[in-house]
Amino acid sequence: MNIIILSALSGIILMFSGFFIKNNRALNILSVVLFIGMIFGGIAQLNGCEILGNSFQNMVKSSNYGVSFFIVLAILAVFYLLINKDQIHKVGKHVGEYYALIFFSFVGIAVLAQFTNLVSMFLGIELLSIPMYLIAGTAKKSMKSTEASVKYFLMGAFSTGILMLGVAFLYGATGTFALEKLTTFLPQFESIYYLGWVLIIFSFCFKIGAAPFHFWTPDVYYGTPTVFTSYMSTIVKGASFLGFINILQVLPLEGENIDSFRYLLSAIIVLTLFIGNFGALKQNSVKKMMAYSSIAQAGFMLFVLFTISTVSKEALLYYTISYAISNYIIFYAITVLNKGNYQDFAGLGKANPILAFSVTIALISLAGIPLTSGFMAKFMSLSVAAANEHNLVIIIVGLVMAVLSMYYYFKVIVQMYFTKGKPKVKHQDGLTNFLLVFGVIIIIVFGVVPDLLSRILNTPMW
Amino acid sequence: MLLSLFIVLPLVVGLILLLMKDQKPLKWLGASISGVLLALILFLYCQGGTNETHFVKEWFNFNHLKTYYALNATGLGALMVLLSNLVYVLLFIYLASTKQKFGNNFYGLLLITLAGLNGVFLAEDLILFYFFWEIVLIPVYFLIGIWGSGKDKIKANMTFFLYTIFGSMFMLAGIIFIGFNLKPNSFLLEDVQAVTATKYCSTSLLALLFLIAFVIKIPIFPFHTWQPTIYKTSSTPVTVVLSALMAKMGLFSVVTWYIGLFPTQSEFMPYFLIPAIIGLVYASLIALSANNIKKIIAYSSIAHLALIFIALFTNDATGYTGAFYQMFSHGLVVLGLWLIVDIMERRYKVTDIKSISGIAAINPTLAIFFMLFAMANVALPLTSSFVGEFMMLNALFKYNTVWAVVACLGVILSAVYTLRLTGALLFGEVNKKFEGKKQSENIGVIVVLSIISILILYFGIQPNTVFNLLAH
Repeated sequence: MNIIILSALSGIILMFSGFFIKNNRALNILSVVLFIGMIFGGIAQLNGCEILGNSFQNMVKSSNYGVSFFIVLAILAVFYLLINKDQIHKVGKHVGEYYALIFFSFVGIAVLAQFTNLVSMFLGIELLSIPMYLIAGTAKKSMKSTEASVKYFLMGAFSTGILMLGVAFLYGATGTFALEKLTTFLPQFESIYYLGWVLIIFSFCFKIGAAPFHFWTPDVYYGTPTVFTSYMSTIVKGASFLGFINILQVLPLEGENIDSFRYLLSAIIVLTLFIGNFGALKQNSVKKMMAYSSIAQAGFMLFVLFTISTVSKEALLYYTISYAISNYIIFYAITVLNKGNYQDFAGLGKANPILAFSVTIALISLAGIPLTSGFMAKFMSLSVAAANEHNLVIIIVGLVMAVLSMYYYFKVIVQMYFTKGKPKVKHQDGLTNFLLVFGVIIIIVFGVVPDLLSRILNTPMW
Repeated sequence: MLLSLFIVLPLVVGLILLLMKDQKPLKWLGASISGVLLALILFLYCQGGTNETHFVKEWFNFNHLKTYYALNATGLGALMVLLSNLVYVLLFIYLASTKQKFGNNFYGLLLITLAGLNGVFLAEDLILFYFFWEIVLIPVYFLIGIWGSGKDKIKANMTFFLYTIFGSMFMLAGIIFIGFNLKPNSFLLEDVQAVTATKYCSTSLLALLFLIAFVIKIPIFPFHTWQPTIYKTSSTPVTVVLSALMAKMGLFSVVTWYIGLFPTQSEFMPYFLIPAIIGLVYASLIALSANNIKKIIAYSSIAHLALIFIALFTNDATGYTGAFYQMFSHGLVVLGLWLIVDIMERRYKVTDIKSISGIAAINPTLAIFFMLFAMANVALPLTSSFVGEFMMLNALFKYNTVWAVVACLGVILSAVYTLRLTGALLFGEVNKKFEGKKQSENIGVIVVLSIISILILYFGIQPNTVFNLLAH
C-alpha cells in the first residue's frame, strides 16, 4: 500500500502548497522529490516492506508486475516533469493544483496496478480519469480546452457506465466481485457472463483510445494544453493498459472462446490501426497528427493482449517506456514551437540542431525502424500474437499500417531538414538539452539491447 | 573481432563527421577509412579460413528465443564487402580530388551507409540482418533529401523510402512468424534453415514474404518504378552508392536469405521469374528511347540486374558463379559510368543526350574512359562483364532456351542503347564554345578512372582471381 498512500499524500501536500509556495520552480522540484519518494516507496514495497498491507479487505493486493509498472511510470513522470519544467506554469495560474491533479491520477494508477476486486478496478479507473477531465480544461481562457474537458468528461462518464454494467453482469453471473472467484459462473448465466466481459473490454478500449471508441481522442488531445497532452497520451494510456492487462488475466479462455476473443481483438486492432493511421495522414497540425498517432500506437499495443503471459507483460512495459519517451520529446517540441503546425517545424534542423535531432530519433522510434526501441517494442508485441499462426494476416496488416505511419512521421522530418524556414524557438537550457539527449540515448540503447534491465538486475523481471 | 571493425569504424567516424558539419570538409578522411577497411578485407582473405572470419556473440533473448550478434565473412558476403569498400575508396578519392561543395555531414552520412552495407553483407543472424537492412535506409534518406535536386525531390524520396520499407515489412512479418511460431533454436542462419528448409518450398507464402522485400530493393519489374526517378534526383555520389551497392544488397540477400532459407524450388518458380525476363527487355527498350542520360543508365542497370536475378535460380553451378561474378563486375562498371556522368554533368552541364556532342574531340581522356565503361556495360569480351554474362547465359540456356534467347535479345539491345549514348555524346559536331580547347581531367580523377578500367580489364582476362575469392 505504500504507493497508494504516498501518492495520495503527495497530492494533498502539493494541493496545499499551492497556497504557500508561489515559485513555480520550487513547486516543480517539490513534485520531483515527492515522485522520487514514491519510487523508493514502490521499491520498498517490492522488497516486502509494506505499510498497511492487508487493510483493504483483499480489494487491493500488491503484485510484482503492478508495482514495477508503477515504478516505471513514476520514473517516466519524473522525466516528464523535468523536461516540461518551464512549460507547466504557462498554462494557467493555479500551478500547485496541476501538480496535485497529476499526483491524484497516480493514486488511480497505484490502484489499477494492484486491484483484486472489480470494485477497486472501477475505483482505480475513476481515480485515474477524473483528474484528467480537470486537467483537460486547465487553459481556462481557451474554448478548445473547455470543449475538450467537457467532451472527455461526458464520454468518460458514459464509458464508466458501460464498465459498471459489465461489472453488474459479472456479479450477476458469478455472485462475487473478487477476481479470483470470477472464473466460476453458473451455467444458466453464461451469456450474461460473457456479455459482462465484452462490456468491460469495450470500456477499457475507450480508455486507451482504441477504435471504435476513439472518437474523443483527437478532440481531447488537441484541446488540452500541449504539456498535459504529453502526460495524457503516455502515462494515462500506459496505466489504462496496465488495468486492461490485469483484468484480462482473469478472463477464462478455453475451447472456442479463444477464437471468439481472437476475432474480437483482431477486429478492434484492425479498426484502430486503420482509423489511427488514415486519420493522421490528412492533418495539418502536428499536435492532431500525434493524437491520431497515439490511436495507432494503441493499436500496436493491443497486440500484446492475444496471449496474456509474462512475455506479453514484458512487451507492454517495454512498449510503454519506448512510446512515452518518444512522445515526451515530440510534444516538448510542439510546446515550444508556435502552434504546432507542420510549417512551424520548418528549418528546425539548422536553427536548433539538438531539438531537431531528438525529434528525428523520436519519430524514427515511433515509426518502428530498427536501432530504436520503437522497433523492438513493435517486434515484441507482434511476437506475442505470432504464437497462433492464424494471426499472420493481422501481423501483416499491422506492419503495412506501420509503413503508412512512416509517411506522416517523416513529413515532420522533411519540414525540419529539407525545408527552409525560421522557426520561432529559443534555445533550451542545459537541463532540457541533457534530457533530450538522454532520451535519445535511452531510445537507442533499448533499441540495441532490449533486455538491458533484466541483465542489470540479473533477474527476469517477474 | 576484426569483423566488427567493418561496422564500427565507419559508423563512429561518420558520426564524428556529422558533428563537425560546419567545419572544413575533411575530404581525405573518408578515403582513408575505406582504404583501411579494404586493406582489412584483403588481409582477411589472405588469412584463409581462420577464426578471424567468424564472430559470434550472444545478443538478446526474448520470449525464449535467442539472437546472436554473429558476423561471418565467407564466399559471396566477403566478396561484396570487398566490392563495397573498393567502390567507397574510389568514390572518396574521386570526391576528394575534384572540387565538390559537400560538407562534412555528406561524408559522414556516406560512411554511416558504408557501415550499414558492411553489416548487411556480414550478418549471419536473421534479426541482425534485418537491422542493417533497414538502417541503411536512414542515412540514404537524408543524403537524397538534403543534396538531391529536382522539383519533386521530396516526393521521390518519400516514394523510394516507403516503397522499400513496404517490402521489408512483409519480410518482418515472415521473420516474426518464423521466430515465434516455428520456434527455431536461435535466429542464426543455420538454426533458421533447419526449421524452414524442409517445410517450406521457395514459393510458399512465407518465402514470398521474403522475396517481395528483396525484389523491391533490387529492383525487378514491376516493382522498379521508384528507381529511375530516385537515380535522377539524387546527387551522383549517392547514386553510385545506390546502384553499385544497395542493389547488390538485394541480390546478396536473395542468395543468402531467400535461397538459403528456402532452397527447395517448387514447380511454380518459373512463373515468378517471368516478370524479371519481361523487365529485362522492357528496361532495355525504355533505355533505348530515353533521352536523359541518368535515366538510360538507370534502366540499363535494371536490365543487367534482372539477368543476374534469373541466373540465380537456374540450379547450375555456372549460373551461380556467373551471377556472383557479375554482381562484383557490375558494381565496378556502374561506378565508372556514374563517375563519368558526374564529370560531364559538372563540367559540361550535360543532362540530355542532345545537349552536347563531340566530347571525344574536346576531352579525349574522358572519352577513352567513357568508351571503355560503355563497352564493359555491353559485356564486350576482354571486360569483366563478359565473363559473368557468358556464364549466366550458358546456365540460362540449359534451364530454359526461350528465356535465353530473350535474354540475348536484351544483350543486343544493351549494345544498341549504349552505342546510341556514346555516339551521341562523344562523336559528332563539337559545340562552338568548346572549339579548339583541349581539356583534361584532374590527376586524381584520372587515377580513379584508370584503376577502375584496369580492374575491369584484368578481371576480364583473369577471372580466376574472383573465383578464388568466392571459394574462400
